[in-house]
Amino acid sequence: MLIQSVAKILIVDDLPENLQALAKVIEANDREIYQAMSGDTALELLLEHEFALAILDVMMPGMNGFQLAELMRSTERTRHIPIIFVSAGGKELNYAFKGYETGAVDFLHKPLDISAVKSKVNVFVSLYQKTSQVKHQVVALERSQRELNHTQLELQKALKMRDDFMSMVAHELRTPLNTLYLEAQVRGLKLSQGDTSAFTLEKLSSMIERDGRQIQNMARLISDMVDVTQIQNGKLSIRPSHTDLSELLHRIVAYFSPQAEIAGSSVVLTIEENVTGVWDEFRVEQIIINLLTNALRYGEGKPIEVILVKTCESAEISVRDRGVGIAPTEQQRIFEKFERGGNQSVREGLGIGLYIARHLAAVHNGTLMVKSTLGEGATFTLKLPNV
Amino acid sequence: MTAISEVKRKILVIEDNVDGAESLWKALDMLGYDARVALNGADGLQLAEDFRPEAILLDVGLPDMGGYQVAQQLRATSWGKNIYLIAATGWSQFEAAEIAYRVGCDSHFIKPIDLMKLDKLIKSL
Repeated sequence: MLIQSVAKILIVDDLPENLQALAKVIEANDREIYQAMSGDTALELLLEHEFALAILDVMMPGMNGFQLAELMRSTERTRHIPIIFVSAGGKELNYAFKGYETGAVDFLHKPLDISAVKSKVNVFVSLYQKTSQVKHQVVALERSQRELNHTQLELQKALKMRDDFMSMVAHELRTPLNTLYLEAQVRGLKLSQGDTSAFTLEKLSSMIERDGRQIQNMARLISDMVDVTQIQNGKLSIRPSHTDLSELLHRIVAYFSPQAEIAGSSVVLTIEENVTGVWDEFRVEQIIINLLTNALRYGEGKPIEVILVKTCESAEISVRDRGVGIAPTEQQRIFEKFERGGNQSVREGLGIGLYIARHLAAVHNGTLMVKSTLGEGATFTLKLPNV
Repeated sequence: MTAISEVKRKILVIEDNVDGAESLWKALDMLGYDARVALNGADGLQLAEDFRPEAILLDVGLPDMGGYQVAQQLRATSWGKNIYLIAATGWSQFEAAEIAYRVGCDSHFIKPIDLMKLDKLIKSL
């Protein structure tokens, strides 16, 4: 619904009884009447208020009605206010005013015909109200247009981000898929050649290990993708249960060691035993695997340390590499979505691991922080409050 | 009497994913090629100079320098400008292929790689 704006009407006459009589005739709920007994007082009011209409007595001592009107027409602020002149003289006086080209002008003659006064004033008031409604609508339209433009830009950005993300996921999935496919083709060829030497127990078990790695990689990529979507929708939750962190870390490091070896590195475990609490074991594992994958990727083949200590308020797991390190300016950015460390040529992964990991720490009411000096490696510390 | 050439054709694989590189090496070896592997761009260029392969299968997402950069550097050498260069990417976009050709690759494969197609291509060289 549109708000009916109040129309302010200025009436100017040197005789107070005229002002009162006129005010009485034109008063109504949707208007405010301002009275002035001289041109000077009228000008002051004109500076203060925005008028819908001015009714000016032509014959006044000092500044007469025409002079006041000419002053009004010469100022931008008051130029377009419609004016009704009230004159006692004949109609020839109507042309004594030279301001017709701007704004509406009308005449009333004394003695005043009440219904003529009312109807003229009504016309100007309703004109004013319609104009101000249109102005409001224009402002509102412009605002919603701006909002729409903004929303459209945001949407385009979000769409572009999703497209890039999908194309990145596809790219990342192709690497393990490529290995699996090559292996399958080689096996197929060997089988078709009747070459069974490729399928000895020993070779089969290394095949299975390698296939398992590719499948794990792909499964992890898909989980990450799902996690990011859930974080965005505020739906990522954890299922805490009794967890032995020491045992978990032993298991993760055992799983990770062969990969570290391939990368020419190793994982050294320094832990307190029997550190237990109520956390989501699967999610903690996810965080640690992410930190270890990064340590391996950026650790320049130097040994990686995994440290577990228990304090009175939390369990703290640190993963430390001695590789390239992270510049201070990058230390926040790496936790953001689709970002990775400064070495832009490393394009492996989706750039969402730390974003997810920090989020997982937060839903545990814990923290994930980094300390690093460029060239000396980085230490990521996950603090999980004791529950 | 004519001597039948038993010399294996030399192929270099430049690929940073260890499992992927090993699988590809195994596949090429089985197909009868003399295949070598480099796990980064710098090693790849060095090995290319020493080994002088007929063809190079180049992964474009390498850790030390982009594969496209390797291609450009290779093309700038006297010994490397005529080696048949195959780009391998996980990017299926048209642009990826275009970039590959622009930096001087002779063809472009999208992962996962079809061995028979690759074999056919190398045999046709």
